[in-house]
Amino acid sequence: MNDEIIKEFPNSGQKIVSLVNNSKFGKCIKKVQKNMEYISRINKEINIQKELDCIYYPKVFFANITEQNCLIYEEFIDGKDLTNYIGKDKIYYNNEIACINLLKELVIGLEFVWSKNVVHRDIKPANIIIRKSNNKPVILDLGIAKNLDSSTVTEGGMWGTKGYSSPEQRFNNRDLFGKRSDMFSLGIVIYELFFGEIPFKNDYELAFNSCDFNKNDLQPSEKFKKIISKMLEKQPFKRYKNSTAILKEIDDYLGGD
Amino acid sequence: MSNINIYHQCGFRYKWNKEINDEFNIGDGFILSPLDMSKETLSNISDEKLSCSFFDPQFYSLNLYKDNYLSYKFLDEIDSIYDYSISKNQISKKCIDFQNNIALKYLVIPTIDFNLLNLNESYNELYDEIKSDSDDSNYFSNINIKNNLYKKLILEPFCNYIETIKTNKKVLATIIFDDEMAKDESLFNSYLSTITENDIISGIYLLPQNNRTFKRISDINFLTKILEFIHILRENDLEVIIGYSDIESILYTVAGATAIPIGVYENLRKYDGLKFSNNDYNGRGPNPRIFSSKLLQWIEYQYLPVIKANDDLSKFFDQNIYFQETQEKDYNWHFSKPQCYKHYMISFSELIKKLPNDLDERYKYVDTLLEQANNAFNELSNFIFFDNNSSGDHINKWRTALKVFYEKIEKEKR
Repeated sequence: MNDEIIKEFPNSGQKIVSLVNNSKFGKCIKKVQKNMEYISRINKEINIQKELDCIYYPKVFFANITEQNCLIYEEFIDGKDLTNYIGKDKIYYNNEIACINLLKELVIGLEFVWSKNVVHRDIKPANIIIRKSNNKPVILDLGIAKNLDSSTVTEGGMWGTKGYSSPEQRFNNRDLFGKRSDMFSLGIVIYELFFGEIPFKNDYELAFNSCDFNKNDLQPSEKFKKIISKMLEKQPFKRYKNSTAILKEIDDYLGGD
Repeated sequence: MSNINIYHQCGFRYKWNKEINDEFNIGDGFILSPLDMSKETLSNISDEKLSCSFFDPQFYSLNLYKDNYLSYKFLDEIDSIYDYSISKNQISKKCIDFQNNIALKYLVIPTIDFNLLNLNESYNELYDEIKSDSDDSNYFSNINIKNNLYKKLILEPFCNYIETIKTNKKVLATIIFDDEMAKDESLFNSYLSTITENDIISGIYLLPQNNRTFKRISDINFLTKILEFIHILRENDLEVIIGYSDIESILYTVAGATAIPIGVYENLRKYDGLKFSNNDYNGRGPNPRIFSSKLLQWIEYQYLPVIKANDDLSKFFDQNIYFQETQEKDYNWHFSKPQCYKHYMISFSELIKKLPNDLDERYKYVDTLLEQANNAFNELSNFIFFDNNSSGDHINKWRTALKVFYEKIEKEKR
């Protein structure tokens, strides 16, 4: 297989990501990484992603993962990631319906991996692209990306990005880690899109503060606050139990408006 | 009539449970005990009865070699937790297949009582082995060992097997709520997190275990924490069926417990893991006591003539046929006679069935019952000095635990 490099993205740890024109797969993303750890888990997640025929994830065309090396070719998603949608002049700002509709799509998308007992671990705006062709969100960086990338590893060794990680990830409470850790991060993302900033600026706020729902003088509805605040509960067992529970609440919200 | 189910916690003399169910329609089903009922005996129970009952596989000690229990062949050739660890997948299959192939209402995932195991170095060796077997040891903690062993040795093999079979039956997971869980917030949280994340489990068979000097649980922290535990399970849409519990069960209903047990002898109304080990269990007979729905206590029989001489027994004891039998002239009180237990099963069931379904109303109702019990004890104190196991010392502690719990929940709602 021959590659013609179209664009190289900035290096992240030992990971090299580029947009290439591949002789077999056409225009696609190529990821190369050395010195792999947690091979069995990553292989499991990549295999799941390969099997997923789902609009919410890029298709994996090829993956070869060994302890020494990792090479992946995956679908190129034409669109902008959610970092481009944060701010007062953006569509999601102070727009409950847009936020809740996006939340619904992302919960449905994450359920594809949650149902296979896989946790994404690093849900954040940079890992969600809105596909240009249909305006649907695509979730990136399942599996491989988190390995050895120092920017996404907390001090205790658990993956996640500061500002978006759940308390159990941030404070290394491994026994509490699970699917609902993704749910917390997703709550942060939706909060940020609506208010233009993340709710917890530092670890102290993450540990002790509850959400401020009057930030920037915005006044979201009680139903909206209820959904987001339950996703952002400090203890995972106080969040929604699963995607069914949150989707029911979302449908109640959308049906009631 | 409340929607709380009442299960007969079967054991020795389960025929009394059966009789009270047949004759008075007391109890919504049976918790079947392999320690006390061989496989053959169980096979004679009608499908109608089985379909409202469930089976407790009693893996608690892993070394129960009594004949009835051995007839099920769940733990054949298992001498230690090592053996169990090696055979856990085959054991899960045998245990679930047995329950799935008969008309039982639920499939029950058992638990091991880790307090019965010797937590020595070899135990840590086992833990390391399990950890290294995990496909993501980075996410395997060294704290809350009990919860991690529970996950790896119990939940994983049982849930993995249940996922492969076709069944419409709901699945209960057994959890022992002990003093350590009440005191250690990290362990409390990790159990809750584990159990509420699992989508196969639709309910918990919850066994309260509180070490105490007297017969009633009166540890305010224990009661508050178990109420909180039940409340969170209910918030996660899990059924909560209490097992091996006495009249304290009325408190658990305030947190939303969906079912409570009634048992004959004391050792069926209090969880004690030693009962399920091969050691000689001290089953020494207690002094006969009779349940008072007014005093919310079991009262030792010797006090009854004193009450009768100074007051009206019917103010304190429900006047069913079995109570009346104890009042016959030549009645010879003995703990092994059925009257006290049959009286209790009827009287306590009637009390539970009167509870309101709305949880706010239920709290107020139970609090009022407790207040009335306190007043009744005060009346009786004019002519009786109760011993600690018949007294009302627990009542104010129960009221306090309920108040602490209820106010915490109210605060969260706000």
